[in-house]
Amino acid sequence: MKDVLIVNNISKIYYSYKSETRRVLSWFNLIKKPKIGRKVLTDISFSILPGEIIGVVGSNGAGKSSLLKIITETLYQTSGNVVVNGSISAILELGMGFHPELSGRQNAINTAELMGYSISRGDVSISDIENFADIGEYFDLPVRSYSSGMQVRLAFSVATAFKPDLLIIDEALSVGDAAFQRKCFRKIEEFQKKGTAVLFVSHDIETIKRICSKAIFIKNGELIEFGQTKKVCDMYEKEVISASVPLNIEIDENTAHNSYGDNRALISNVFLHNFARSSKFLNINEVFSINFNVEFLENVVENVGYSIMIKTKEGISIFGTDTEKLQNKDFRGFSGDQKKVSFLITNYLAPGTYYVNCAIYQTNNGVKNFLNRKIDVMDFNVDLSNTSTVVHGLVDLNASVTVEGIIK
Amino acid sequence: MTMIRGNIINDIFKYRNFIISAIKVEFYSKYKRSKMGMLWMVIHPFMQVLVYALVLSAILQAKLPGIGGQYAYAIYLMSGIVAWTMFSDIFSRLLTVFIDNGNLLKKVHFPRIVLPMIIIGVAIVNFLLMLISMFIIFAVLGHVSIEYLFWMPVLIFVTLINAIGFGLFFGVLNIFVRDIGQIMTIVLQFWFWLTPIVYSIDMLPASYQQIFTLNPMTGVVMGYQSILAYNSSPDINILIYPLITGLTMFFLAIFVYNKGNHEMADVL
Repeated sequence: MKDVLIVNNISKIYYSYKSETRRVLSWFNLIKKPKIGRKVLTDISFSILPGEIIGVVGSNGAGKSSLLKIITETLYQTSGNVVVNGSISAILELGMGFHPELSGRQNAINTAELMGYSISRGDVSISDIENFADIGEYFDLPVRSYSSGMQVRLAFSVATAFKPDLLIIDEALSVGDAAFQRKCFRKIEEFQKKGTAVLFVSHDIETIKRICSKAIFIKNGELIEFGQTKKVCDMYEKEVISASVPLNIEIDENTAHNSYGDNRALISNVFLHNFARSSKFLNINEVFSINFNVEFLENVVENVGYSIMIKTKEGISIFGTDTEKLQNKDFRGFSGDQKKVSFLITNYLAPGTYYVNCAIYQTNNGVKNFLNRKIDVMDFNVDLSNTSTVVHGLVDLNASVTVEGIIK
Repeated sequence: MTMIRGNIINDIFKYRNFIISAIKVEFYSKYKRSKMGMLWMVIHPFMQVLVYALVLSAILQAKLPGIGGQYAYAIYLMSGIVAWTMFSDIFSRLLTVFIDNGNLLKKVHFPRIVLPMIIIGVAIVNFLLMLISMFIIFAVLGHVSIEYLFWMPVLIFVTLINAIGFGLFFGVLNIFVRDIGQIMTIVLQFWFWLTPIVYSIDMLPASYQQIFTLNPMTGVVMGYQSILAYNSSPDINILIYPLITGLTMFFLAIFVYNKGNHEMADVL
């Protein structure tokens, strides 16, 4: 298959000149090229196939937006090149280019034309836009009277009124309400099935894990990782959650992947205990415990807590809790102390395989600093048992049903 | 012509629908919330001409050599002002067009040349409305000058090429050196008084007349005055210099536009 997007060694340097006059003079070759540059992107390369949904993650200022702007050609790269095979549609900011005095309908027409499509030629159907936006009579009222959610609805409807080969979405969607977000994701999936590639930037890791097949992690303008979503997102989460620990991809992949923290305490011997049987298989409604041992290597005298998290194979968090929530008190430990932590849980999970994270943390001004956190340290299975009521989904809500004839 | 990259013309053609609808939007949104709506588009220029005609003929009773009648000076003045208004409208708006639309330029990909085209389109519509108002009021006042109107397209072309040339050139530079916008606003005021609009070049000492013709707008404005006020054909000789200046500035503007195009988004 032919790549929809090929990004080839993109670098972006913002040059500053001693004075802007010198920049202008440099166009006429009157003085030499500049000299001070601020590099925001360094040798970024990746490519996207039709139908792929790629998530882009990275902290603020990592270069995500610059990269997207270069792909959409609103910003120009210093070196490297971008090849796009097909049409691009981008939602970089809500309400971009909307004229506040004009109605949604007129703005839709203008924006479509600004993107190079024509309503009159029939490239785009205005009634499709109206239906998808679903903002009722507001469609014919001035955009200045819109809420931000309505603006996003309109912007998304216009941007997806035609099927682009590459759809770029930057954060914007997070403004819309949940129902509209689902509608947007359905639309994205529909496009994807027809071969549209999607580049999706969000700080919402769960969404990225849910919809993206691959992800890109950008840090300080460099592409740190491009690959399977879960792996990339774990790497990013580790980076964000524990900013104090520098990410070092040189060290052993397995240990780096699974464990991090400032190591003032260490977690060991993580195991699952189900009281009836000793196996990793659980039944619905069965009570089980997640246990681990902690050894303190230093004195940590205040605000210590313990936490666990249960996730799906795809990395979507299903349930997480901590001692702060359950016991409403802080713990502490002194060098050499050993603790045994046991979380008691009732299983309402649907049949499948699940992964467990566990952690010991210290809270500073509401921010959790991990002493040690182990990711995917253990997995367990929930059996497809007779007592299960699940057909679809992640949880077992213990359903029952009755069907009776109605007597006329 | 290698300096004009083919894609500028292609871009304009491809986005012609958008340009036309954006011109409409500009007028539409300006008057939308007023009761009389688009009627204001006509009332404004009409009243402007009427005020000049009445004040200058009835109250000031200014006279001008060469044209007879009570309204001579008003007619002379309006001929110059209609040309200058189009020139300074385009010039001053091109100066800030990229800065004013910075946010849009950073967010949506479209050819940047579309924005100046909208401004030029709006200015031409305003010019035509004012010209028509002039003809109507002049006709009522008993002055009809339509014999040499066929020169008008030539004059409009020379005015536009100068306005676009100067405006786009300094407009691109203004993105990078913002003082240029401030300086040019002042320059534009001096420029108005250095152009024979409210006075006639014949009123100046002969030695100054030479210097004043170095101003490209002198020839352009005198051209309009010939057609509209003196009802005669414009002096070709005084139009050649503005044409050359205009074309030079135009190509220089295209050159800096192409050079600055890729760096614009970095500093906006």
